[in-house]
Amino acid sequence: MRSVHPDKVRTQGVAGGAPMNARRRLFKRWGKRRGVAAVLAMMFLMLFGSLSVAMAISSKGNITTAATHLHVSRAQSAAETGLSVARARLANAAGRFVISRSDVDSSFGWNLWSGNLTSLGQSAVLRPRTGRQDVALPDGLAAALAEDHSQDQDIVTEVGVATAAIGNAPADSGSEFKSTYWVFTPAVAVEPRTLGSTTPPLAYSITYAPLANGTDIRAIATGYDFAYSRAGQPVKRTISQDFRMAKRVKSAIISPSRIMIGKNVMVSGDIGSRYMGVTYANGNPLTLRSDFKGLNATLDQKLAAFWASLPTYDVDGDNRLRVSHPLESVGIPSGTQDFDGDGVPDQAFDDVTGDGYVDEFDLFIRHYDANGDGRVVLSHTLTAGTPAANETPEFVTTGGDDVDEDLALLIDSSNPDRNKNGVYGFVDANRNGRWDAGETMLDYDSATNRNRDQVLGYRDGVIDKKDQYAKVAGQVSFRVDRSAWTSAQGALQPILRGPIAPTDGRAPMTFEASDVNLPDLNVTIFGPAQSNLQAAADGAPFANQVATQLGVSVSALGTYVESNPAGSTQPRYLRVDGDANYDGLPDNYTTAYFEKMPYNAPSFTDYYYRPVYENMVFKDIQIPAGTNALFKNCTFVGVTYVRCEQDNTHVLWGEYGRMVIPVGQTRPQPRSPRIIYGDDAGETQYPAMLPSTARPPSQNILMCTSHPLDQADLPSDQAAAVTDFNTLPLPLIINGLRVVDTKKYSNNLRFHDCLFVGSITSDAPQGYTQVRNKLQFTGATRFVQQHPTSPDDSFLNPQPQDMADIRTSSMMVPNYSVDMGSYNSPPTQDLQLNGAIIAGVLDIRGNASVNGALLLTFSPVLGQGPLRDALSLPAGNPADFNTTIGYFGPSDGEQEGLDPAMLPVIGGVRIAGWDIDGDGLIDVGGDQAQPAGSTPIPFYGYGRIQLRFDPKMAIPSGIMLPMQMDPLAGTYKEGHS
Amino acid sequence: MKRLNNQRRQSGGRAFTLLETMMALVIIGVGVLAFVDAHASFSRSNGWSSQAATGMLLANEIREMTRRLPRHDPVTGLTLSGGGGSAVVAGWGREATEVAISDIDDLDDLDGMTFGAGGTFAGPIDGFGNLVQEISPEGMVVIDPVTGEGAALPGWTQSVVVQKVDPYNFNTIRNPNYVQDAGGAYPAINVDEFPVRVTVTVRYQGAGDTQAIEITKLTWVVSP
Repeated sequence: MRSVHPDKVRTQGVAGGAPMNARRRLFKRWGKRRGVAAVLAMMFLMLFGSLSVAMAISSKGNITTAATHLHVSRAQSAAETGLSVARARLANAAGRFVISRSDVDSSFGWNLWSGNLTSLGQSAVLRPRTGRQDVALPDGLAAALAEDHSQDQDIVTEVGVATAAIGNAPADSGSEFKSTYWVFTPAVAVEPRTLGSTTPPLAYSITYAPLANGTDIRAIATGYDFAYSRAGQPVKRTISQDFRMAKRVKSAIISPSRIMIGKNVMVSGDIGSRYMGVTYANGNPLTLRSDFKGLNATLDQKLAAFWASLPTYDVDGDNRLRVSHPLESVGIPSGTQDFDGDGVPDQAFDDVTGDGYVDEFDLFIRHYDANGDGRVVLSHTLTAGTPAANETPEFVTTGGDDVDEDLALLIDSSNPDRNKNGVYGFVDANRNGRWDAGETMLDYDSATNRNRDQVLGYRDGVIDKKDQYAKVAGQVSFRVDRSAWTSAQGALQPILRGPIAPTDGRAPMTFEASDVNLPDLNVTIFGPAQSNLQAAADGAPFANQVATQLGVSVSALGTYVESNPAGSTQPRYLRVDGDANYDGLPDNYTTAYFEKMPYNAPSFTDYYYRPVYENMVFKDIQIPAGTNALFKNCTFVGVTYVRCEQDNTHVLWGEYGRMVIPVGQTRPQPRSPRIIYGDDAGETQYPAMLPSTARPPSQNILMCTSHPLDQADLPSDQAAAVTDFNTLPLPLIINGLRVVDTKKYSNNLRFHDCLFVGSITSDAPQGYTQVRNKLQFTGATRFVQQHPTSPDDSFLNPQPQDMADIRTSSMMVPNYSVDMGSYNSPPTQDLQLNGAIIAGVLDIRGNASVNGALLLTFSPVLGQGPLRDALSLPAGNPADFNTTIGYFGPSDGEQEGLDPAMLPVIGGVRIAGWDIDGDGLIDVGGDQAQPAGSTPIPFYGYGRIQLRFDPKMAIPSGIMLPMQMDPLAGTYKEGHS
Repeated sequence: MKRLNNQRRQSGGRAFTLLETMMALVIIGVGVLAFVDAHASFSRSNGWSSQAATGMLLANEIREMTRRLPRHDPVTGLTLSGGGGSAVVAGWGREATEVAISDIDDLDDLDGMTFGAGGTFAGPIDGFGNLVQEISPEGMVVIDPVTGEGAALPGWTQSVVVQKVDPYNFNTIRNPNYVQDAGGAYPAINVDEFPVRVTVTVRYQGAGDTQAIEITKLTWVVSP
């Protein structure tokens, strides 16, 4: 309504022609009672009403928003539960499939997912870890998942499918996915149902969608909160993550035998020991030696004070004391102690690196850091060309000599890819295995004229917090129970020295590890399937390659006489002849080359006559069983395949053919001399157990003259007279023939100053025989994947089609004993290994770098394999078989070596041993008195060994290992398209 | 004069009558009352919304804090000593050396724990274990006059329940010492190989409230 002026009304009335009197009366009433207050009141009422409605709408909106947020969060938590379940179910399902092939490509992945296992080589399907054991085995990964989810209970039927099912992709799924073999699961309740309520509980469902690339599976988890709905639909949240099929191990070392990691050895990655024999002498599953003990007497005192606190205060067993921890911090020794006697507190236990922990590294830096800048400047030799070139050396003795150049290099060169961009290392122009001034670092930033990794501490000439030192940068896992270990061997702290720094908030140590986390890598996992590596050794036969390089025919090799003098760079071959006269010796044994076994060991158990091949190049070679050669300065291109008899479980396998040097002799002779039985008249009482093919006239019978080793060492008419004849082992028969020298059926090879451009592999002997099947790499032997000086020479580089397999492993020699380096490795040694390194037992000494993982196969069990005597009775100590990285001695269970710390020091030089015969090698250990006329051999130093686990490492095909599903971190997504 | 009288009558008639005023007051009063009531309702619902949002925030803070945690202690694990019915579980709940929030290193440490006034630790806490502080309307941290440090958000508690559950039925609760023996169609499952369900309940007790009320509850399951 609007008010109108009376004049206007009047005018309008005239114009309108209404009766004048009536209009006047009306005008008078309006003039007296115009109702303005009511109008205003109504306006206010409308205003207030509008405001109230606005408030109601606003508050309703707030409520709706808050309630929605609340239920969305609950649905999100349900979806995250679904993703957690998916992750676990994928891992369990994948772990059921044990596959020999390792090349997980698109077709491999799809065949595994969809159930075409026959194309994957040898395979086995295991029972589920937690699910029903009485259902049929699934034919593929999708079926395994569906089976596992079919056991879910408390199903919410209001949404999704009623039971787990495999089906086709939804119509709108897109080309990103495969169109079949999707796995759909029903919704599963996360919370209990509310009594009396018909509202379903919080729930999740999962869809497993195979991606088009064949190897990835997208787990799409949807959470439902039915307590809040719109248009009849519950609140939903969907999240997804991709998982990729993989076949690998997760540790830098996995060993069923003891592991010993010595001084100047750093491990970046997890360590897993499956060794269980803790009750034997030295039966520690893992031994870690401090890198800093023995550098300086005062530092040793500080270390001792620090170590004294660890048993009481190191709560988590990482050999570090956390500064902010209520208990661990109490154990940090006082800094007021004056160790060096200068009357000033040393503040020796500060957290110099600022990482929140006090550990050996802090003590080390604090000790040598003369100017207190938190850095230890290396010697002039090691700072040359670095940003610290002009600084005053600190890691030197008071006399200015370097303290331990190997340790300095080890720490300063650790973690070469500091910025994690995948580019690291340097061009080793002088091939000395370390970066020197003038050599080009690969991760160079031309814009700033800086080496990116060097900026972050790599070979910057100082040791400081940038080096992030840890003895073990990872977790150590044990199969054994902790209490069993400690009750047998005592507190762990003296056994395990050095900081253990696990990643991702994991515990530094775990015990009673499962097979899933610590797989059993026994030799059976290699199975009968020939690996791709073995197949790649398809070059010309060994004899042909040798003969070709010598310029003679193969038939001439048997009489070849080397004319090139020692030291010549031409191919050289020194023969070892056969045993035509059956005396157990090569017929040219008076001139043939021989050496102790192990080479250069203070303590040894056998001798080998070896043919010597020098200055030769072999390509994709198979080295026949029984070669037992020494290769000097040879190049092995492609895959080198070492052959041997695989059925080597006879109890006397290590004894047949063993040699000694009798007193008064200078050359090895059979430890058990033999005579020929059956070649004289009347010798017709052939051992009854020998097959006809192993008797005259097919084969002469060689019998021990001293004492019988097996039942065939006695004529049948004498057997009854021998006490305990039946306890003697049966003779060894191979291919119908009796074998009394297993050296001819095994391979014990030494490679000196050799270059491997590729990989070395072997047959997989069933038993571990520490001497018969053994590889030793000495001198400056190197492993590379491209020829260092002739990268474009096709002959000197592996065949391109073999590179994929070569990259998986530098060495795959299951159940072989492998020595990398010797007991006194020279400083020129530089072993660089990549990929999965597989051996029975492995020792590394000297300078070595492993980028991959060490996977050991031999599990020493008393009464089995080499741990039994000739009568098959238990003998020996399982703890004497160990994987040794670095130097140890008999007191640690390393029976073939000497602890350098125990070696004598003469004229300031530590003496490794004594050379009697003038060959430059140790004949008598340094722990013995110097023999008259001998020459002291100096200890060449601890060297430096760096073992870095490569998480991207693939393992060689042929190894039967369970599959894994790796979550791909960058693929987590909220919502699903 | 007559004209003047008329004018006076006309001007006196323009004033509000008592009736008009009364009616206007009634109408405006109704409006004002409705507005006040609406405002009160608005304040209540806005308060509920704020509480719900705060509650969910606090529940999610616990969720964030637990993301990095394993189910059982990384050092001691969850183990059984003894066998059969006398088996004693070790490792469920906080270990003896875990005395601060920063020492919490696994999910089962949180079982039965409450963060807030009268609880296990002061609270509420955020995903890093720090106190969630009260913020004044001016946006400043409210200082506790006793401690001189930032005061905790008053009235709020976060309670956590961690339960071991069956791998295939998350509503079947298992005792911490439960192991599944092999038998029939099922394999053995060790004491530490079960999923755990985590339930966070956030409660609020206002200054005049006699008891805390549950604002929200968040549940999730962590599989082995």
